[in-house]
Amino acid sequence: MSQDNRPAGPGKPAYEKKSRSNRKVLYGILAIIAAAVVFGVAFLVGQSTRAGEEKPGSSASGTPTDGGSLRVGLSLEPTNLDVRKTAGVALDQVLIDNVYQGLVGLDATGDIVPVIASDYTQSDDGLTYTFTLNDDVVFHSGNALSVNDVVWSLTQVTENEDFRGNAELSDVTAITAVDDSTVEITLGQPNSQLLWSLAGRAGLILEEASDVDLATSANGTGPFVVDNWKQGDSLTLKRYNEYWGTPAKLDSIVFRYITDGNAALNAALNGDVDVQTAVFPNLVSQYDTRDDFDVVNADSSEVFTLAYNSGRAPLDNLAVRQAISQAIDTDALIESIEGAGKPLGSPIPSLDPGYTDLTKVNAYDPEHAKQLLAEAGQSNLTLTLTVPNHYEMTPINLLVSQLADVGITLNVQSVEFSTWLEQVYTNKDYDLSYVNHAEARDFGNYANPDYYFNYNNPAVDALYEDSLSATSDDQVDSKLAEASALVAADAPAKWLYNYTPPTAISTKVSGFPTSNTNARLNLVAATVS
Amino acid sequence: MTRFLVVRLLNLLLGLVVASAVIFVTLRILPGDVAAVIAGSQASPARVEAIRESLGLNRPLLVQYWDWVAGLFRLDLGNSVVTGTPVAAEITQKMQVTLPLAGLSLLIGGLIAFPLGILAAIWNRRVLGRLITVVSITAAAVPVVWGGLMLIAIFSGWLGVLPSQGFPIDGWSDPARAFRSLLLPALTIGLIEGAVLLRFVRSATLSALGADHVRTAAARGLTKTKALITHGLPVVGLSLVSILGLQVAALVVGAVVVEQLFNLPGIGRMLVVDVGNRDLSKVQSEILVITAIILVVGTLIDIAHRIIDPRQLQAEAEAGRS
Repeated sequence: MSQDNRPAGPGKPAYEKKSRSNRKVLYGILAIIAAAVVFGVAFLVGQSTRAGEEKPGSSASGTPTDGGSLRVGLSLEPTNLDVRKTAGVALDQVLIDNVYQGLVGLDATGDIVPVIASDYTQSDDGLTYTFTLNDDVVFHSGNALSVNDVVWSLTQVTENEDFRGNAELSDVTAITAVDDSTVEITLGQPNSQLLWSLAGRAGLILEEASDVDLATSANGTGPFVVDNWKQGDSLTLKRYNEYWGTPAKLDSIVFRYITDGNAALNAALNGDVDVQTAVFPNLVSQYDTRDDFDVVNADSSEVFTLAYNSGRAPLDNLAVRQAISQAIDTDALIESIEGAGKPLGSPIPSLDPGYTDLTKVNAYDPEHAKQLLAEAGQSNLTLTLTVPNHYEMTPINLLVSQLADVGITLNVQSVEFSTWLEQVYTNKDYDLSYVNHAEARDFGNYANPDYYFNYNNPAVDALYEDSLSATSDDQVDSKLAEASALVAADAPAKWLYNYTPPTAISTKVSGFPTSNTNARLNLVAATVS
Repeated sequence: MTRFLVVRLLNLLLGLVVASAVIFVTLRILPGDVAAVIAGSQASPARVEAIRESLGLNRPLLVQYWDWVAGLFRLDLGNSVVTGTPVAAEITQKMQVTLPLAGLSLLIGGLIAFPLGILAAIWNRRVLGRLITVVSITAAAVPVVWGGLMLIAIFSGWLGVLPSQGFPIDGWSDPARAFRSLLLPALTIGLIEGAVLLRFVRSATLSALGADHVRTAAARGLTKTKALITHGLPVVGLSLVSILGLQVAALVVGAVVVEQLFNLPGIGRMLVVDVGNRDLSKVQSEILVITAIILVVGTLIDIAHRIIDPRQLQAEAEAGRS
């Protein structure tokens, strides 16, 4: 590596002696070096004496007080703030309920409750929904919400194919203002999921006259306003003092985006965050040993799914799919993530309608799996598993060894999520895929032959349609339960576990939600002392 | 001299044009596309297509390239299709982390490389000099990630004196706090970078020690060290300026790794996130800005060399061109 820096010039050096100025330069350099060293040492010394200082935001008393700033560590950052166009629960999590609201919303247990609407009625045939609006609802712009804003917002979603929720409102035939405080939504056919959709992205009410840039700011009706978004770092919400309902207790919320689990742990232990959501399972014990943090496993609708490409041999063979499913010991997988999940035998998790315990279907039975493979002539099977590279590898490595035990070799192909979207989701070019299906009530994917599973069962499609056109909750539940039992038996995928992300909550915090926190995080009632 | 300047500037411009084309084409080879990322894993193909249409991703690549270049001439780096923010504003914001980080890393690297490199050369035949050389070769081979983890373990975990994660939310409004959060990451790059530089300093000093005018000075009765300090070091400094120019690229690569590791909202982490999102129109502007910085620094160093070092002028004069 050493270089000969001898100049390739003529033999006669053109260099003149300037020793005095050179000496000055040298002394200067030495002085700078010395100063830097002294400064650095002083800095470190000063540092260690500062460690005893009290952290900002803590108060002597342990009783919750109004006000204060809650700092929440999250792992997944939204790509932008445009609730109309941008996918992902990372956006729902911070903006729905806190900044944007719909006619209806979800309460802490996930039940649908009126929000901007004071109440609503549903016709017996399930085709007409009538919403009465609350008076004096205001946007963050200061303008009052009018019935026209509601009609305009919902109509925008139905008319623009690139808006989130557009497909969910496809049964809507008319949205009309009956009078100044009543909105009527008419359907072409009953849709039991309509209220659920309206409680999510599809139903958010925006101001028609507003021209804020939705990608970088927001103008909703919720208890908080977007104060500052530093991409790749944090999103700050401030309490909206003109809020039309019961105002929030917190002055502000700072969502800090920390992707690395260890980094998140350090932030919590250093007192930089009050709550850390989606704690890496193998780090839970580090929080557990602390008196000032409680760890709660939050219920969720997230299903870690090992999908089989049913459109590709040998996975088009039911026996092979069953064999793979029976070769997998989901209890061991859940143990490998420190118990941060619940076993699941079908795509429907316990928070969603239609849940029944189907864990006995295609349950762990390696001997039977080998037998099935032998009968199918696939005793030496090699398959590729395509995995987005942002997932923890522990459960995946375990999967590889479990399948090896029954004679299946898995080649793990780790790709960026965007590559997964193209290869697996769009082109369906894969054998097995491992991904977290985080959306709630997404059973419809199994009733869609075009979905990347390549799974097609007309009986399931029909039952799902029945569940949509059902007009009572019981009917919805029973149709979906029936459909999910069929799906479980067909084994288009193995539902590895229903993820219950551990959340570390400081003992200074109260009123922090503990259900569905990866998708919604309503903080209107939260306090920090 | 004028001609030299014109030629260098034209070279710079040509370099940027070629770089822009290369960056544009290579990014288009990546699988995946931003419309699918925006649409997510519940979207119908029709929705992805609608988004692609609204983002103008269906236009011919040449048209897209021309749009981008035309924007560059207006000093407009465009907007991110994913975040909707102007790219220039975001680069400016992230530079507030990355520039100080790079500067601090270089400072630390220089503080290590210069004194130790010169000592290693002067003590060339002593055990101590050999030891410095061996340690530097080892340190230069340390992967940045591993070095960073070690430093975190020592200063943050064991001693608990320095923050290992993140950057203050209010940026430089508390300079001391911001500086402290950059110290460990800068040490990570600086130590490894310093080890690399040390070997350059050592070999430059060695050749200076052997140079005619230094040997002449020593023959006039100056000690070897004195002769080196008064006659050799200016030449060493000169050759190292060029090396520092080359190290800009290494600093950028170091920043990418270190910003991930230390969770710093800088240019490096932004690049990783943007490539992940396939926000190509943004990535191409970011990479071009970084490339431009490297090329401009290189050009400036060349020009500085011409002005500082009379021997180059002379060599050119003797070779019959000027």
